[in-house]
Amino acid sequence: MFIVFFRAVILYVVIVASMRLMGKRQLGELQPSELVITLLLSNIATLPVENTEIPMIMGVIPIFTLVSLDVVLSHLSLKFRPLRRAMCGSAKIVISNGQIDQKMMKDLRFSVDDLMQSLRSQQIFDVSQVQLAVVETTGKISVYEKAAYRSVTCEDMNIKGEDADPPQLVIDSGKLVEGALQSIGLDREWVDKMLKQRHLKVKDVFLMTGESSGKAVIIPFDKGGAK
Amino acid sequence: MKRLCISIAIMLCVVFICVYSVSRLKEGNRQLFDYISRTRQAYLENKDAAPALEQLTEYWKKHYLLLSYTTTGSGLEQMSLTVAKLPRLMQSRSAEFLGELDALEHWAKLVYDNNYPRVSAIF
Repeated sequence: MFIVFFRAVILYVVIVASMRLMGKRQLGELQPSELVITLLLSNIATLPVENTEIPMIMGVIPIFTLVSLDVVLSHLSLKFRPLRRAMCGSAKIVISNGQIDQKMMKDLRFSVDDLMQSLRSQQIFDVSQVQLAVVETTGKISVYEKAAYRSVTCEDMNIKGEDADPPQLVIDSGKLVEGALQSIGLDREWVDKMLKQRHLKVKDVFLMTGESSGKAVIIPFDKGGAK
Repeated sequence: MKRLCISIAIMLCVVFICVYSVSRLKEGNRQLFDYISRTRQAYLENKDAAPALEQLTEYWKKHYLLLSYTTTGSGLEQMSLTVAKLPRLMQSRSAEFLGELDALEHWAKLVYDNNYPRVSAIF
């Protein structure tokens, strides 16, 4: 029983380290090769845990090999376009100027229901509103609407807006977030000044966000709430 | 770039472990076969095979540890069972003694063959 316990702990660490090595892209959108790796990893990792007859190294070696191979190949595919196309495929246009490319839909084995569902998820209910729809290598559909149906932008209205970075989390549960102040070009003195205005200390703050303009939002801990 | 370097380092480590384990297995098997051969010879020449068998048993304990990293449990159990039978078979001068020594040699060869990257072993 202990062997299974220790193996599960070790393999958990190995898998987490492997996923971190593969990078953040892995978590959001899976390319075909990454999907294969993910499926294989989950299967391989369970073998030495389920069956104590299988040496642990027989699980660890393939996990590290697959993940390293994936990282090396994805780096190579950045440099060599044919390799990238072979590994990930290429984006395909399924709607052009409001017209569905039926041959492409057939090639991709994409049903009209799949297409309409993807369009609806992007608040488009009429195919004729679409200028261009592209099936990405991840299987997701990107849509570019016709000019008449696109949302009006500041540029369209000739309104000048200011480009500013979004607010950054500066204090989280009574603790300063490292590196946050530098990213918005402010310093500790600014934090102290803002807190002094509200008669607060860092440890009293549940959440504080700051912007490069100097604007801050401060939410103190509830009185009697858990700190 | 950091990820790429770590991945290449891991792959090199994996390759090193694979090469090292096969070479250790080959060397370990060579010694095991040597002990088996000495025991067999002493037995066939009607000499006292007990010291040679004792050496073989002692060596098996070390070799077992090495094999346990690369071999599934059932294969190892089979080999350990064979080694455990040997002293009793030798005392009774049983004809099975030589057969069990051959079986041990065969199992060890099989383990090495399964770990050596031959096309047949891979597929």
